[in-house]
Order: sequence, then C-alpha cells, then structure tokens
Amino acid sequence: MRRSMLFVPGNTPKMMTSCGFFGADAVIFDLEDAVSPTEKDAARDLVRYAIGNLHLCGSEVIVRVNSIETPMFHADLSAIVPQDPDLIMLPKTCTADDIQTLAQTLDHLEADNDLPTESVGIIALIETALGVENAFQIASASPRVKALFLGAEDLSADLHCKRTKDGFEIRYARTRLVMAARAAGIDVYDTPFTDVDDDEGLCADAALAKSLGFTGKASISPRHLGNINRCFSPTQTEVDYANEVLEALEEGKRQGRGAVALHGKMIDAPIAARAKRTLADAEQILKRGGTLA
Amino acid sequence: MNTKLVKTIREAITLAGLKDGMTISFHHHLRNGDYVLNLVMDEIAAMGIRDLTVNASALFDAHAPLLDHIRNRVVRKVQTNYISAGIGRHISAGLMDEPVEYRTHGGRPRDIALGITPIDVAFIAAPCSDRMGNCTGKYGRSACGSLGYAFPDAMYAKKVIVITDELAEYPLTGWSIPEIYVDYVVQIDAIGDPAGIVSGTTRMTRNPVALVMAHTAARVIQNSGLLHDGFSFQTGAGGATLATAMYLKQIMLRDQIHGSYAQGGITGYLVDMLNEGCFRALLDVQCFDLKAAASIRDNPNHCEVGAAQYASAGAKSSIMDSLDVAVLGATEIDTDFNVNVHTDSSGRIMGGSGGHSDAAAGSKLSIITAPLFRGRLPIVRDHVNCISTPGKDIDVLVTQAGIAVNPRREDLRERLTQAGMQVLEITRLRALAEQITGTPAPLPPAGRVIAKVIGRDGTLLDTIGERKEEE
Amino acid sequence: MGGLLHFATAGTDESGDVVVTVTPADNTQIVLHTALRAQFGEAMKQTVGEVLNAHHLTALVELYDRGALDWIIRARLETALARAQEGGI
Repeated sequence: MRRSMLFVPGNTPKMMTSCGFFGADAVIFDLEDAVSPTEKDAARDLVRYAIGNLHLCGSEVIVRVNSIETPMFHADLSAIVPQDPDLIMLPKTCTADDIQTLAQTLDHLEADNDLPTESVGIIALIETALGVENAFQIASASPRVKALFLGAEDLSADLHCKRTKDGFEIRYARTRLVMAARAAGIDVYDTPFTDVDDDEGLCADAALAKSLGFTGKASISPRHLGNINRCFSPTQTEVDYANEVLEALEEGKRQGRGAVALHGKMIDAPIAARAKRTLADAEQILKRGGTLA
Repeated sequence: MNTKLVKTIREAITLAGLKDGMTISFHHHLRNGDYVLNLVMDEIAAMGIRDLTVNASALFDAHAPLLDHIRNRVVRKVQTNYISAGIGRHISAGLMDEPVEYRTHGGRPRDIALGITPIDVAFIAAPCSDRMGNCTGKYGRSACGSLGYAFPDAMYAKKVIVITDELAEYPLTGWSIPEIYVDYVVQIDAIGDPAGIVSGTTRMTRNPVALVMAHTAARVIQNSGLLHDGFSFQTGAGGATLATAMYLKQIMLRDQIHGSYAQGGITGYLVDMLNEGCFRALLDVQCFDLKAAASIRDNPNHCEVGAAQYASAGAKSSIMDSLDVAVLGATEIDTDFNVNVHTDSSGRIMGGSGGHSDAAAGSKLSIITAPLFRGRLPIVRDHVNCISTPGKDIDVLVTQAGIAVNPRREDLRERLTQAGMQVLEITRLRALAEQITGTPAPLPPAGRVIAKVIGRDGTLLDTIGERKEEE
Repeated sequence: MGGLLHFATAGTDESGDVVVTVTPADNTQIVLHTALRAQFGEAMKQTVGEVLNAHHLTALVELYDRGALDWIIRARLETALARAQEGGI
C-alpha cells in the first residue's frame, strides 16, 4: 500500500530525522538531483546510516541513486544495497537494458552481502521521451520492477515544452505509463505537484492522477502528504460496497449459485478482485493510524 | 489647569518618594521594544537609590542593562513571570544573591491584590495618556493594544507613574486605566521601538513537525466533546500552538461551529477567526501583532482584560474558569505530565510560566504540543529539570509520533479511541524519544537555589539551581 | 598509525548537523565544540573513537556540533576521513 512518497534530500540531517513522522507511505532518500555535485559522497554516507537508524513509523525506504551513466551509480549502490532498502529508484530509465544493468548489479551486491535474491526492488523513474515510448518493456524487464514513476519536470524539458500546472503536456505520458504498468501488472506513481502552497491545485492534480489509474503520487513537501493520502485512500462508501460484494459472493457460494448479482448488477471476477484490494488497502491504512477518505 | 504632568522621570520618582529597599513594578506589553524599564532604572541608579525589588510581569533581552543594576546593588531582588534566555543565563550563572521569585500571570495579580507582594511605585508605559493619567495602549505611535498586565499595578501600587510618548487632550476617551489610580504623568520622546513592540504580522509556522502536531491537536479538540457552539479557546502565538488554531478554524468553519470566545495573548490569526464568526468575542490581555492592536481599537467585540480577570486564582472568578480548551507548549515534559517552560534541557533559565499553568489549571482540556526531541535532546523525559506546571493539570500530550492521555482522564482516552485516534502510553513516547536521541548523561547537580517557582495558588512548586557557564 | 593524507572536513552548520574536521596526527585527539557537553560529550568521544578504530586511523578530530544525532556524527566523520585519504576538498 503506497499512496504517497516523500522526496527527502540526501544531505539534510534535520529533514531526515523527521521524515518518518509525516505519514508518507514511502520516503525517497535522494542522492541525485537534490544533492550538489561536491556533496555526493557526504549524502551517500548519510543515507547509508539513515536507513538503519531512522525511526520511520512503517514508511518504506526508497533510495534514488545517480543514473547509470554517472560514476556515482556503482558507488551509490555499493553503499546503499547492504542496508537492504525496499526499492532503488533508477532515474532516467530509458530502456529495458537499463533495468537489466541495475538488476545485475543488485544480483551481485545481494549475493556479496548475504541478502536474499531480489530482496531489493526497482522503481523505474521515467523522465525521457525514450523512456515513455519503452514503458512496457521497462515495466516487464525484470521481476524486480515493482512500479513505474513519472518524472514530469525532466520529461517536459526533453519534450521541449513548458511544464504547466494543469499538466496538459504530460497527459499522454501519464496515460501511457498507466497502461504500460498495468499491462505488466505493476504499480504506477505520478510526478510531484511542485507548488507547495497551492492545496487546491494539488488536490485537483492528485484527483486527476487517481482518475487515470495511478496507484499514488510523490511529493516534495511533507505538507502535501495528507491530501495525497486522502485522495488515494478508499472512501468509506467504497469499503462498505466492497464488504457487500464479498458478502454477496459468500451467500452465493452457500447457495451453490455460480453467478451472483448485487443491486441488480453482476459481480464478475474483476469486481471481486477490486473489492478484496479495497478492503486490504483500508485495513493497512487503519493499521497505520490513518483514516479513510 | 489641574495636571499631574511632571517634567522628568527623575522628578516623578522623587515626588513618589522612592527610597532604598522599596519595590517598583513594570509591565511587558512593549515586549522586546520597551525603553521604559531601562530609562527608569538608569535614572534610579543615577539618584543613588539601592536595594530595590523589581516586580516585572516579564523581562526580555532588551532589558539586559538591568543586569548591571543588579551587579551594582541598585536591584536586590526580582519578581517576574518570564525571563528570556539572554537575561536568564546570567541569573542561572549566579548573578543574584536572592533567588528570583517566579509567579504566573494569574499568581502575580493575586499576590499583588492580597498584599503578599506590595508595590511602592508602579511605572506604567502607556502609548497614549492625558494629563490626568487616563491612559491606553490602543492609540499612539507606540500602540501595543491591551495594557491588561498593568491593571493590578495601577490599582494596588502606593504610587503610580504613567510614562507616555503621546499626550492626548483631556479627557482621553476609551481609556484602559483611569485617572483615579494615577499620581504622576511624564511625557518622554519615545517609550519604545515600534518594531520590537508588536510584530508586523505573526507568521504561521512552516515547520512540518509543528504542522503535524498542530493537525493532531486540532483532531483531539474536535473529538474531545467540547467543540460545539459556545466553545472557548486559548492558544499560543507561534509554532504548533498557533498552527492548531489554523486547523481548528478549518473545522469550525466547515462544521459551522460558533464559539463564544478566544482569550489570552491575541494574534491576527485569532482576529480573523473572530471576524469570520468562529468566536463571538476576543478577551485580550496582550496583543502580539499589528492586526490584533488595530482590532482591539476598532472592534467592540475585541475586549481588553486585566491580569486578574484573565487568570487570577484569587479573584472571585477569572475567564480561565470558563475556558474549554488550552493549547500550550513545553521545553520538557515528563512521564507524570509535569511540564517545564522555565529552563532549557541544561537547566538554564530561558522562559517562565506566563499564563501556562493558569490556562492548564483553568481549562477543561489542556493540550501540550511538544516534539519528541529537539536536535539531540529528548523532550519527553523521566523527570523535567523544573516543574512549571504540575502534571495533574495537563490532559493530553501531542507529539509528532502520537498522543498520550493523562491516566487521570480515562474518559478522554475513551472518547479519542472511539473516534479512531490511536492513544499511546507516555512511557512509550519517552522510550521512543531516547531511542532516537540516545540517553543523555544526567546533568551534574545544580548549585544553590537561584529561582523559586511559585504556583498560581501561592505554593512553592519547584526551585531552580545555579548553573555556571561552560568554557 | 596515522593514515590521513591531509586536512578534510564534512557536514554543515545547520541545526541537527555537525561539522567534522580531521587533521593527520599520530595520536588521536578529539575536540568538542558543543552545547551538549554535559549530556552527550562522553558519547561523542566514544563514537569518534569507535569510527577511527574501525578504520584503523588516528587523527585530530574536531566536532562543531549543532545537535546532531549519533548516526549523523558517524556519517559525517566517515565522509571526512574518506576525503582526507583521497583528493580531499
């Protein structure tokens, strides 16, 4: 259950010590864009220590390493993988080969550090036109790939267009990524909304992402997390409906009926699956002390 | 023409008959912009008067020249409700032979009225006064709004000197303190620096930890059973306490809850809540910003209250007795819910009760917002360095990692749990704090008593020991 | 012993952080600049000693502490030590 992810710059001790308390389902420690070139080594050391020492209140740990073509790529992974993060975020993922390269490196590092194979997952950050076009191949390149992530700032630069608040320029990329991820059976996450003070804009942007099929949305500000979590949480009505669906199926089973209807509508396999997912999500949210939308 | 005007502060002091060993008083509405305390003390020192007791409702870093008057024995004793860190660390280092007497904003007017702390000469810094001493903080270039803390001084001091930088024609209407209490009026060039008196606007915090705590505190209020029409409220002027008002406002507007009043130190944020219908009245003992100072002048529902009506436990009643919810801060809190707002974690003076323990005692629900840790220091402790407000008066602790309810309030714990809020044991929060920071080594034992903390009912709550400066 | 090539530093003076400086020296010496000497002075010295021993290094180490947690001190010290053994800054 990952509705929200919070980007945390990798060289900011004060933000790091607090980042577990903001209700993010995952925190992304950033070694890439948020760290100046002269402090890459310092951030790497800090994030390495942070993973084992921070109190994260159940937030998952994602580390955005530097991209494959940089000299920091291997140094980052060698330092971070032994700490057993949940996911490595690979920036500028353009091809399935990029995933293979990362996956092989992870294979070696897991073996060297006595970690179970494939204990570290991959979240592919798609932020180039080539990446968008290769989205399905990337999503299905390795069982390690757990999700696609849309990075709209770099993408709009690559598209030679302006990044706008209503996001018309990334409409195609959004739908394309959702399609690719769902086709590969994995999750998909929306780009952060960058105006920290515009709550209305954030809610509209998150609602749009949810309506397109995104699993959740990243944030660069802790203040956005509440609204993002609310947007991507099941509503009480949805939970009630899911319970009704499962009860109707149970009842049908008891009566030995193959087809079951609820409120005059046939319950097919996708509806049943969605109901189960809704209830599982709701249970996890409540367990973490959150509330339904 | 009848007049109480005298030419200089020195003349007023002479006429008032100030002698060695007497007690003089000051109020702190001009906050860190105040010139009056220093001007008066310099004059007294120049006149050769010694061994005075200074009873000031609060002392700020702007009053640092007082330290020299203490060294030179012009001042022998200090009675106050708050001392900022710049002065506090000198007191902690052992500057004074006699311990500072700390009271609360409610205890001070109580003890003045009961004659426990009699005042010989009160100095009232007034942004506007007429020649007979009708005066107020609402007008003038140094306008500060309420003069509430000065009311008991005016009423009970043997002699009262009003010092102003704006003389109004007699009669000044809309006075805060009437002429019946005033002996002398002195006009000077400036009673304070407007920039230090009230801030332009009170800034809402952007600290995400403070916002998380504030959001939770607002949910505690929402689920407390107290948030309905007629609701009354007090909160602080910054950080998580003010941010709680922000989230509370959203809830009150959404659910169309019409409160009765908000009280205490007033910020522009509470003025907005008044104007948008969240409250019917503001009861104001101290204005924190320009918006509050303008509102108390222009809006009849924004009322000035004196210190005794604000908080005195000796009065027949005070507005504290009708208060539903108070949101307060802490520099430390212990597992018995005792709160420290007097010293830092090294045991050095950096604050004081102000209205903290009065609001905690008076309100039906007192909420402390405090982070688990600041820097490397755990804030939730086994024992606080100083008991400013006893744990029996605290109902809920809100931290960024969750809330704890005083075992005395099982009813509240049940309410919050039923509303879906997770309530933790305070010992669990203490353990978590130390898990994050490590366990600090115990401080070396403090030296002789350098301050006494007197509770709002006059009993001795705690003492603060000397801490020599390091290095 | 020894092992450092030159002076190096890591960390920032933001609150919650620490600036660590390391200088080549044959005998380890630790100098603390912190408001938390009473509460954490000994713990800080022990931490610095542990990290130096783990890397088999000696150095003059100075901490300009702004309330950093133990793991932050460890990370900053390791960065400084690595810098002092390479090109440095």
